[in-house]
Amino acid sequence: MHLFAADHPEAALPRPSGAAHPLFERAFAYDYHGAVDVIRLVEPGVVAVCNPADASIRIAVEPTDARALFNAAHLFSSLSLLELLKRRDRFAVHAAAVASAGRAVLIAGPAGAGKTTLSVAAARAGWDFMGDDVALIRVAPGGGLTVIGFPDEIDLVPDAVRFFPELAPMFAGRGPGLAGKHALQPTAVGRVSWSASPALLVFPRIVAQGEPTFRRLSADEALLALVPNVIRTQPAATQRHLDALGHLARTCAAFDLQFSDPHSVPPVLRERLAAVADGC
Amino acid sequence: MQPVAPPRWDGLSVPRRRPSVATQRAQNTLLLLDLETGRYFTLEGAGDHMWELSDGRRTIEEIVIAVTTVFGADPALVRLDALELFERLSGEGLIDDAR
Repeated sequence: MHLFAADHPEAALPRPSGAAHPLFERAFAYDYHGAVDVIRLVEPGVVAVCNPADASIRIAVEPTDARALFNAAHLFSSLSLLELLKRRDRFAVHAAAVASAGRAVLIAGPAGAGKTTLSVAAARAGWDFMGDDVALIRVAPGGGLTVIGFPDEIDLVPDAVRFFPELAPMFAGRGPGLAGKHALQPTAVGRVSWSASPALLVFPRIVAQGEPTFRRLSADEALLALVPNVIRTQPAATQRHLDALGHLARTCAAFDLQFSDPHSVPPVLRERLAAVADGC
Repeated sequence: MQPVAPPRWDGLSVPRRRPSVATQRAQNTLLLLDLETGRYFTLEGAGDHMWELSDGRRTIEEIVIAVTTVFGADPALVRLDALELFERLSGEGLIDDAR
């Protein structure tokens, strides 16, 4: 990875010629250029170009722009790295992951679904922490699935901090960061684990009150919920990503979960984990 | 100038899946993901089978015969369904006519 200062990042890393399409939502200037097989990410003051052919990531950033530096060091680095991992058959799931005795629960969903809050609550309850926003899955040659942790910085929304008063001293004297969230190191919330067998797939939703409720999802429903995880780049690699998500949906027990108090969820997850057969 | 009407599908059309479409099946539903637009679609039953047979070699008539054999349905109804499906898939940019 080459991160360098540039007064004009767009000129330092110009747009490749040829057609491009968005990696995901059209609202972002994050594009895949198929003719040259590179992804290019643009935000004010920062441009990243990831070239899987030589496994390179180049990021040009205006050094005086704090938000641009934040994007360079966080989102752009992560998205580029995830693309390189995808080409090596480690596929990203937009999910938190926690594990118990080597068996993982993937907590999947969009921003605001409760991934971080639930994974931190589970870690505080003694589960192994594997990541609060992204997990990787790998399909072994024999067909078995492995979850690989991606425990980068935890970003906790201020509203969720009230559930973890014991962590408050870590935030003393400093407010939320540029993303509007409190940053925590994974080791601050519990024990970190890097690898586990996937056993449960949970799609959470925060509700105002009530005990946690689970609704079993079919494999088809689970796959549809996972489709937004696919970052649309090289067709062959993207098809393998979709294959891995299909494998996950077919073999993991999947549930919709509604919860209000995150601390009420880990004990119920443990019961669900005990109820499903070993592994996916 | 009059706009040019899109090609109409008929029994001699040869539907061909576009390479920019990724597919996956979890259980009973075939998922189609257009990698260029991000739009995704689902097919089941006869529609799923028609998609799988859209290899750029078979005509719609041949696909209709194959689907009729598998599902034991009325060929006339299968033909109508096939023409409607391929019109829709073509409109979404998921398939083209290799004829």
